[in-house]
Amino acid sequence: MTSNIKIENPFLSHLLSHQRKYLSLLLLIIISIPLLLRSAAQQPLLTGGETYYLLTAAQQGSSYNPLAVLASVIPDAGIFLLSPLLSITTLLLFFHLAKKLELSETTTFLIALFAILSPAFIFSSTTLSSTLGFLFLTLSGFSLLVQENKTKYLSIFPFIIATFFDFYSTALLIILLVSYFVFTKKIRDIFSVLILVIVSALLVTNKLLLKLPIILGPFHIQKIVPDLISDFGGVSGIGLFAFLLAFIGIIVTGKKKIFLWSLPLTVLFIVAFLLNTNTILFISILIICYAAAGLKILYEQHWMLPLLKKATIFLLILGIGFSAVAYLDRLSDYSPSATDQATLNKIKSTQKNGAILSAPENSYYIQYFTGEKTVFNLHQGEYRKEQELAQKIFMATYIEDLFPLLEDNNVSLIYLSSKMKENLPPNQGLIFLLQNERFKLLYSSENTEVWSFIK
Amino acid sequence: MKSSTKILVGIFLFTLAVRLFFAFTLPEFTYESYFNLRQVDHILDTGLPLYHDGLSYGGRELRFLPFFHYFTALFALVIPLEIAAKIIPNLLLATLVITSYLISKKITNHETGSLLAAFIAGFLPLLFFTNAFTVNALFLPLIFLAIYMFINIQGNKSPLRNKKQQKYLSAYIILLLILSLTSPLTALLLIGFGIYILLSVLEGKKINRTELEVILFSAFFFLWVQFLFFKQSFVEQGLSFIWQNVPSRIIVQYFPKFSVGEALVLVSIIPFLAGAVVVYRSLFQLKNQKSFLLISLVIATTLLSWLRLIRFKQSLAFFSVILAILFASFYQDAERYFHKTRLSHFRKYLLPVVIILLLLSTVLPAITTALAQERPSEEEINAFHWLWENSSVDTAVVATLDEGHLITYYAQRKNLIDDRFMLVKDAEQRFQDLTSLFTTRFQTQALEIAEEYDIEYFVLTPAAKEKYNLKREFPYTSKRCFELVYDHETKIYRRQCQLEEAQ
Repeated sequence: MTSNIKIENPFLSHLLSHQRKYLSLLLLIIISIPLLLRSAAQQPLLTGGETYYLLTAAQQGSSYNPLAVLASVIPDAGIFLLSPLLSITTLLLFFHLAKKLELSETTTFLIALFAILSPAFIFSSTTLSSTLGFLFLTLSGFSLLVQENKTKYLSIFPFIIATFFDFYSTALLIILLVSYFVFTKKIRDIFSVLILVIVSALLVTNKLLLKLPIILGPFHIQKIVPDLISDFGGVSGIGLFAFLLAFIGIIVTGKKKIFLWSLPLTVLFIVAFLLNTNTILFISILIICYAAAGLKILYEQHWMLPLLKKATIFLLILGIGFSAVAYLDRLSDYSPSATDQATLNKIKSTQKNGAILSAPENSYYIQYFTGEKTVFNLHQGEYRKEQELAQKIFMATYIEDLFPLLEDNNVSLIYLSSKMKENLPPNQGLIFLLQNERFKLLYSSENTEVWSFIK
Repeated sequence: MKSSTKILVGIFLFTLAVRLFFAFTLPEFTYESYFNLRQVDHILDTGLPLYHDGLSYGGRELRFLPFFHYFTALFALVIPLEIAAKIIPNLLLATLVITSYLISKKITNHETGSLLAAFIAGFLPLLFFTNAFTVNALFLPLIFLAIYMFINIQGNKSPLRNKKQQKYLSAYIILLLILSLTSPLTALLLIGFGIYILLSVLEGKKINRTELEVILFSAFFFLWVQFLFFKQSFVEQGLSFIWQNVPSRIIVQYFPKFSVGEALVLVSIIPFLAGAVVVYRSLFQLKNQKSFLLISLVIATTLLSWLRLIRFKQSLAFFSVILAILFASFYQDAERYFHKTRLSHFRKYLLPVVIILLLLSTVLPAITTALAQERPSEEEINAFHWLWENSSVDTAVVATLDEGHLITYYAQRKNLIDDRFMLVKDAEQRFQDLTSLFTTRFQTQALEIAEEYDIEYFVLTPAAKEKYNLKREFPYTSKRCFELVYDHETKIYRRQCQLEEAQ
């Protein structure tokens, strides 16, 4: 992947040599679109379960997650800028590192372009994402580590901070560090050993003492295929065309050394993703690298039918672009809406002596806006049980099934967002059973309802 | 004109004549045709397909590939739509005779076998729905023409250096473009291509570069077009998009278990058995590379039907034409066999016997299929026409699922449900309510459902009575609440009552 394509087109050649400026600008535009659309609709600028989980943790000072700690010292009005800044810096760090590692301009350009257009990166850039935070710190650490002067010693700081997200990302950091030291034959250097010892020690202590999770999340009900391919309706993921292009990349790089080296990492990312789709950004980056390799090969190879070659490459880029545009359109509609925020602020002043029931993915912003407990907390390790409980409550046929579940979970309020009302069946399940006298409608606005449950 | 060309033209004209005879003798169209008729009508009026349908499901968004409708609309500019809708599909399906002959000839280079294959393709029972005005009528001839063009692209040199090949390539690309805008079933061709590559790799056959490039382009172009049209369905339904949001209670009707018995009847026994023999011999004994692509398509279709990823009858229609084409190989092999063995003096009887067997096993079942097509009767249509003349414009009407399109086409009123389930969030609930309206004995339940969907008229056709096993009328209709406003074989009731909440 280090060879440069001979670019005869002056436009492409200009684009490649000024890729930092153009791609940073593109990223800035892409990040701004959902933020501007949300702002125009007077919606809260931030979305995503993890965002509100971290903001709640920042409010309560209950987490060691570096993003939660950072959010606790930033004024509320400026928090929405945190992720865009992190993602733009991450992109610049990638360019810096790519140059140091002598990655070709074309490969760097394709990886960066596909990353910017990938829903997983767009989502992470507009929400608070621990994975993006980890990526930023890891790239910062490596950017310092590759320096030949004393500044390389500073890399220890980002690496240390990067261990405070979860067990999985810290383990990944150790794998990356060991790989780097082995490749650069620095595995026996004192500094290398020191970094590895510190990071490994933190891996153990953070898990045992700070009780960091194995993998942070998930923050929504997981669906493997849509969560991987955003075009099938997932929260983020990768575009269908990038995914298909990655297959071509895998086929063409299949016999190369680089593919064999990336194989253990691929397996690790797949396993982690199957366990917890909140790790989507990691697997997306890998898919993007394969997709970049795929497109590069398609471009470099001599085709018997040059016109079809141009058309195929054009279709692929168009397809990847369309996935991004379609995703941006959806992202601006993600919860919470302005009505959600207004309704939840009203709940704040209501007398409660129990938990709030809503769709599992709504729980995090409900906690943030109301300061109250919710029935569901998907990230807390009982994911399967919570998923089953949600199914039982929302699809209960009889009040005899529903009431014990509500009582056992100490439900005092039920929050029905407009999306829940759209998706839940009106003539059966929870919505139908709300006609019972033990439920009382407290508040209703724009298809959003708050009900109290009388115990 | 060569004698084989004369025979081919003869088979084509005979097939067309028989098809048109049934199309014009039997009145009306099959139930699903009315959706397409309405779309063509709308294109003729506005120039655009009806993507926001104010009548279907009481108002809904709709997505479909519109090429077939535009194509027919062109003819409907010159001749009346209902005439065009009978001539065009039959003419298109009759061209399968020519395409099948061309492909068979290319694969076997055997004149008689290819003519027999053409004859079978013309009289496949599964394709003898002469009164169906559906997308399949354009899709099937086009896909086989595309396959023929693709087979002709093959060659060691770049098609750019060979003018003939270049023409085939251009034709293939144009056909692919049209196919991508005609039916999502074009995916069958691409999956077939995938299996073709896989089989070639397994057999150690070097894959032709040109083929690979064309396949790659085809795959991405097709996906891109589907992405443009069905983006919303992909997002809302994810992978369930494949099952088209068909309600769970009737999904088995649309995606039934693959049944060899049913396939034998629908495809007709001789081409089916002959095709099975050819596939087996080509794959395991002869490793015949010429028919690799067709065999790959057979495998793709069987696999998708078996996994219930494609509607059984649609896959079988595609499958049956391939088997018809493969019959040419079977006949060629049979002739060789007779020639090589002691049975050579019986060789002269082979052709007449085959012709008699084919006439019995294809033509007769094809005619039976044509006569047994499920269509609304003239009397039923008059009832829907009566609704158009005698009900207010924003009225909702309930009839069976099949009759949903008759409400929107003839009565031009809102229906409760029809067979276009995609993008309808409450399709499952509506289907359940429809079943309740035809089966419940309780007037209160019927009124509750009717009020929920604002249904004013209830249509009870003889077909509905048969389907729901109703002897005379709806069990819950009373004179006070349901006025009988149309009283023929088909009955139409008007709702007079409203449920009141208990104090």
